[in-house]
Amino acid sequence: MAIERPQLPLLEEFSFPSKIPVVGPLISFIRRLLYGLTARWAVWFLIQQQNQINQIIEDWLRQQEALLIDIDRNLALLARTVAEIEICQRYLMKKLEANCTADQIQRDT
Amino acid sequence: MSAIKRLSIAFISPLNPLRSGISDYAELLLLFLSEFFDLTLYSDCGVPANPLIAERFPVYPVLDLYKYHSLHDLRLYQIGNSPHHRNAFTVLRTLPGVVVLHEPFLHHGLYYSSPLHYRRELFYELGTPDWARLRDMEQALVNDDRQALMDVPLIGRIVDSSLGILVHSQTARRIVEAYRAKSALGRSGFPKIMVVSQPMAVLDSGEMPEHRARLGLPQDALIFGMAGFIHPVKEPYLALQAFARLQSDFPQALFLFVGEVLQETGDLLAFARELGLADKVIILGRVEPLERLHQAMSACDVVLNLRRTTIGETSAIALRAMALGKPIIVRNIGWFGELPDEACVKIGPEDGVEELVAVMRALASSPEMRLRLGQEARRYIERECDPRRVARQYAEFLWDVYLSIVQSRV
Repeated sequence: MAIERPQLPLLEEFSFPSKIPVVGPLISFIRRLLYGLTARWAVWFLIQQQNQINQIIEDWLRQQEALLIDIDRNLALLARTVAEIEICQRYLMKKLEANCTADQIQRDT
Repeated sequence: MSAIKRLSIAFISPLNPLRSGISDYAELLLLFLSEFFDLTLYSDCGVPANPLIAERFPVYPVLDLYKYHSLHDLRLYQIGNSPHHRNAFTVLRTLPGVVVLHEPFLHHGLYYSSPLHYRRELFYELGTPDWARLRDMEQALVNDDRQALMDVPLIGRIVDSSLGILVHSQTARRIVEAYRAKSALGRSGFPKIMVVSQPMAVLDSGEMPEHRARLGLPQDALIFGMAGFIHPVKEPYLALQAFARLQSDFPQALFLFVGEVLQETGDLLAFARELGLADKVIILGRVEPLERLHQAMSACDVVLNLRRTTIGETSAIALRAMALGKPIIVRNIGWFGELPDEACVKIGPEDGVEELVAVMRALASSPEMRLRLGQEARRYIERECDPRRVARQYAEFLWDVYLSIVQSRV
């Protein structure tokens, strides 16, 4: 039932596992080697960039949460003010109606 | 102010058939309150089970208040710690009014209404999105560790936005005032807070032999009772331990549970068997309607109403027992501690079996003491809880809130 705050994970490199018996570790080694020669530097760069973006988003979400609480508190105060104004508005309308009725009676008499 | 003779009040509350102490409370109060106000009821009860209520008052679902709120001069919310108030919690956010806070502690009510709203209210009160605290609170809720939850009662929004707050004890008032004092949003002395007694009419206890015969209970037995929802917080196990110690002196004594034994309470009968009390403990289960509950309580000689932790609540069951003229045993804690000493027997907040046995023995051996306590209890109910008097206090408070708002703005 609990609602967990989303945790943004740090990105990781792919580990190239292989389930093939006997030669599996060799295949895995060759893939890692090729990956290390051709793509690692670019992937690392992207991972770092994405981690930074995720961190910024996380910080931003925290700020938004704090802001939402401030807004929520302001909302409570506004709701109270509106409720008070609503009471006064109804009061004034009733008073106006009463005055109109009294005027009408006075005019009639 | 001559323009306004009578206020139109939106009365938001659970009503029977919703099973809640507040439903019974509201139904008792409504008939007297209607002498002072034009009442429109907002309740998610469907058709009220009480025909008197169904005939006399217009009843709408709580969410209809969004449509009709402008037709009323004031809104009066009955709020307690249960999910029966789910829609009231929602409406309160945008349409605040005067709130009757039956307990200044809303964790269970909010959480079991909606975990999302629970989180919102917790963060509101903490003033910061503290997720670690949320997890701790949820854990405490699951374990029903009320003590761990007490320092954040989750009444923040209600205190900040309400136009007035009614509570039923000085203990509750202190909790509300403590929040109000530390709230950065509050205006000094606002909202107004008033303590009003819980309404309870003096009840005709009838003839004890008749009630016992109807329940198949022996006429000569000395009967200790515990009534209402049987929850661990009412310490039924402690009561049974103490009761077991009385057996040698009072072999004719019985222990009667008059109410639903909640799942978290466990197997009371198994515990009674362990204590060798298998034929001395009777569980009646939930007893309905109220008249039958009163009859079953009337069959008891003494009613125990203990609390290990209190959340500032009053106990309608304790008041019912007093209204029936029954001596009650309570702990000197929260609202129970505010009951007059001459109208009940109190044990200390931390007292254990020994102290409970001592007061049970004293009551068991003295019919005069039981009679005197019962009479004083009834006098207390007559004096403090008369529904007509309570309705008048309500009326004075609501007019006070209304007029002070109008005078400050018009």
